[in-house]
Amino acid sequence: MTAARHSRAGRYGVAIISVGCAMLLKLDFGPWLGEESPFLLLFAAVTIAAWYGGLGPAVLATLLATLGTDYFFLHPVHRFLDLDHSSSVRLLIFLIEALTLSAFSAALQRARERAEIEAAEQRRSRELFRNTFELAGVGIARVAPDGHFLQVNQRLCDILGYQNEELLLHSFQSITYPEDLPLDIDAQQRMLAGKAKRYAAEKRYFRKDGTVVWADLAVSLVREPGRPDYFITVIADITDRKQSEEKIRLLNESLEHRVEERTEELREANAELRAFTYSIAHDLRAPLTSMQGLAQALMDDYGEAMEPMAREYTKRIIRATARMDTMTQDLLGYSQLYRSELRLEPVSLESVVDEVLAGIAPNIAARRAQVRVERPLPAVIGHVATLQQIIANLISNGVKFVDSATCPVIVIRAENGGDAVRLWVEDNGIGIAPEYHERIFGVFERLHGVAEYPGSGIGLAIVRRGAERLGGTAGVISSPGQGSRFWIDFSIHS
Amino acid sequence: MQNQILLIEDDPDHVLLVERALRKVRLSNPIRVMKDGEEAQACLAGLARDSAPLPMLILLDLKLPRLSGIELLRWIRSEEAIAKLPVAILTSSKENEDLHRAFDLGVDFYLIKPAAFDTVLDLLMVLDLPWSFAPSGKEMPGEGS
Repeated sequence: MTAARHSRAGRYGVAIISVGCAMLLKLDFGPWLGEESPFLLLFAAVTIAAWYGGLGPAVLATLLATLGTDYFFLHPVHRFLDLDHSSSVRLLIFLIEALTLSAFSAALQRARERAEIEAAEQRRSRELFRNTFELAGVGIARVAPDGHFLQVNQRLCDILGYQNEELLLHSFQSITYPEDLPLDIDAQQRMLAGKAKRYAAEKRYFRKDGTVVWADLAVSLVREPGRPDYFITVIADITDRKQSEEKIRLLNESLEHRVEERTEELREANAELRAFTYSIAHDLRAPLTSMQGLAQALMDDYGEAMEPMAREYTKRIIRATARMDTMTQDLLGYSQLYRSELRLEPVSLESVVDEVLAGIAPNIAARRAQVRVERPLPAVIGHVATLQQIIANLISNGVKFVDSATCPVIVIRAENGGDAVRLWVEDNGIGIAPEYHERIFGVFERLHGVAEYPGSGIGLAIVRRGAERLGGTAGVISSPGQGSRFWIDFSIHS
Repeated sequence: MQNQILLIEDDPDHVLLVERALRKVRLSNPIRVMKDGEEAQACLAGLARDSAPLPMLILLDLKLPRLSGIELLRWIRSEEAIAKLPVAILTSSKENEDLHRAFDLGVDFYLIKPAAFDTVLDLLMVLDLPWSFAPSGKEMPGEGS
């Protein structure tokens, strides 16, 4: 029972009532108690007030008792503070004794209250510790400086697969995975030597059943003054996470392996393509060169002696070999678009178009063609040589595929569309039926006989593939008799 | 070997056409033909070792058995005694890669067949070499030299 638990009114009320009761008893039983001990019951009342209410009520009880005694019991009675010498002394002694009693009693009371509070707090803190220790989601242990387990919680027992008593027979050294032990022991030594306060690591333990469990470990050392006392060890089971990590690592490894395989395949394919084109450039062209050279020699050296028909045959051989020569060259040019690395950079379309026009000026003049460039043309991301090839092919196409009665008119213009630029090369030629719009971009695709419109059938394949190598694409809008409008899309940012 | 032209070419048709071209302009310098790169290398190495007269000009095909024209050219340019010999590549390939590699190795001419069969001498005349010509007379087409 503590003073703090009672209301103020209650505490003072008890003081007043206990003094009142003592007075009444004294008045009623005065004759039996005698004049000589007027204060005995009042001491009891003050003691009750102090015990129940603390210092304040005890002082009040003392004052009331003093006044009451003065009024009712000391001569002359029924008068306040009009006492003879002896009564005054007795009253003063009572006052001092009662106050001293009140003070001691109150001090005792406070000490007892403090002790009770402390005991309750200790109880709570012990409970808190036990709850934390036992109900924590992680394994917790107190470990002796030599590594033996002193106290372990249920979660730790679950993680390691031991009963509580079994685990207390072990040390961390005896259940740690051998590879991970040196680091642990090193950390233990450093902490004991005072060189480290804490230690954290991911490590492996052997469970009782021999399986391996991955743990996230955190250790702190608790010191008594002057010497290490015990380690507090917290262990979380991270086996699932480790297994996931291992799975991801294996996946990455196999992915890397697959990428390497694919890269190797591509390298091989590329090397084969190189060997193939080298073979075309050298081996395939060698006999062709012989045919061209020998046919020309025949014509030069014996042409005059030959009959007209023999001369005509020889001329046709020369033309055929020339065509084959063009085709092999164009094919090599097309394969170049697969083989070579293109470094893309900002290129002015206008200067590329101007250079191309200067290069094919004789061809344009021979066909009496007009080429109109709608300036200015923007800059795009591209590769000069490839762009020249694409644009030259489109202009040559426009100049070539025209009715013999028509003068070719080519318009070159650009259309800005946000991040992209579309370059148009439009002609007034014979046009292309919609069903052929895709086919014309294939290699060796031809819509007309060689005699009508000579060529290798590779020009537009180079346009499409070239545009793709520059990160864009190419297409056509056309119908027979309406001319053709070829377009290429470029990006303007790399 | 003095005043000699060394033609390194494995295709007999091409040998025939080169010989015809030289004959047409009545060039009388002796022509020696080697059919692969190794043979040519051994021949040149022997001449250099004996301090014998070297050919005045090398006509070199790129695609050769055993040792390619590019490899032979690299070797020639690395041998002090013969490094300065004029070399003209005579090839069917217009590939940029071939052309660049040849010029990187210090070739003097890069001629493309078949046009080169007719123009080879016109072009090579710019070289200050001891050319010699047969006296003019009726040409004998088709006859070997």
